[in-house]
Amino acid sequence: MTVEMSLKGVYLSSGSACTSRILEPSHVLLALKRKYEEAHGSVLMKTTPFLTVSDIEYVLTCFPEAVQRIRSISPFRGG
Amino acid sequence: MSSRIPLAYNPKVLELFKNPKNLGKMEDADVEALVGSRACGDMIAIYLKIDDETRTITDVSFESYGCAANIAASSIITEMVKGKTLEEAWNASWKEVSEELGGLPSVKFHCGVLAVGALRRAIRNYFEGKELPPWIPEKLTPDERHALEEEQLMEVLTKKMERMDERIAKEEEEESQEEGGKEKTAVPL
Repeated sequence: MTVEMSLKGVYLSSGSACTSRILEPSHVLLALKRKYEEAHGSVLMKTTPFLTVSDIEYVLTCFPEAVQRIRSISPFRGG
Repeated sequence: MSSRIPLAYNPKVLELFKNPKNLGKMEDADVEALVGSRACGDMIAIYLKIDDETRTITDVSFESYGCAANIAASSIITEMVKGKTLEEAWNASWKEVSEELGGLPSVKFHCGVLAVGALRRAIRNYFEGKELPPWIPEKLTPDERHALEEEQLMEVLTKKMERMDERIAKEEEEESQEEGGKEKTAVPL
């Protein structure tokens, strides 16, 4: 998701531990009874006073598209 | 090395991430293998169509749940082995996968290993119930083991969560007992 979004010019961070040495999903989300896929699928987005309404609208448009494309690659059905 | 260092993906990886080749589930596959685990956040499914006489891979496809390198590595391995014999495909190494991709970042080597592990497990599945050819060792190769280890890690994590749940339940029980005790001492006052 981070790469997909960065190609669209949106920079966010993910809960995917794939980039770190420890291949574990967020222990916090797991403790909140989230499933592994959900814990790995978390993203972090931050806003600043410099963001405009149209910036946010742009993210709202391209984020669902990105989620849809990444899901279409995955072997899991139904999200 | 920490995750804060930006990953330097080369253009080939990004291109395959954007436009993966041989993507999708193969409904009429002769063999398939699903490796990795949901817990690790990277999984690869490989589907093979095999000509029984020539033992050649006539068609291959993949699905991937993982990062950009994972998608690129599984995509490139399908391109590398299409039309190859099973023996040639078996001998594809993760280093070749990395080279074909123009070099993977070191933290992403495991993606290449997982792609090779997926392919090898699919090939091994093909020989299930058949005589194992001499080029397949009876013992699992490190790549296959890697694919399995991720599945085992899933089990370890599940057990860890169960233990955590038990501890929380025990603590809650102790707390409620303590509160009960306080109430009793409160009565004489």
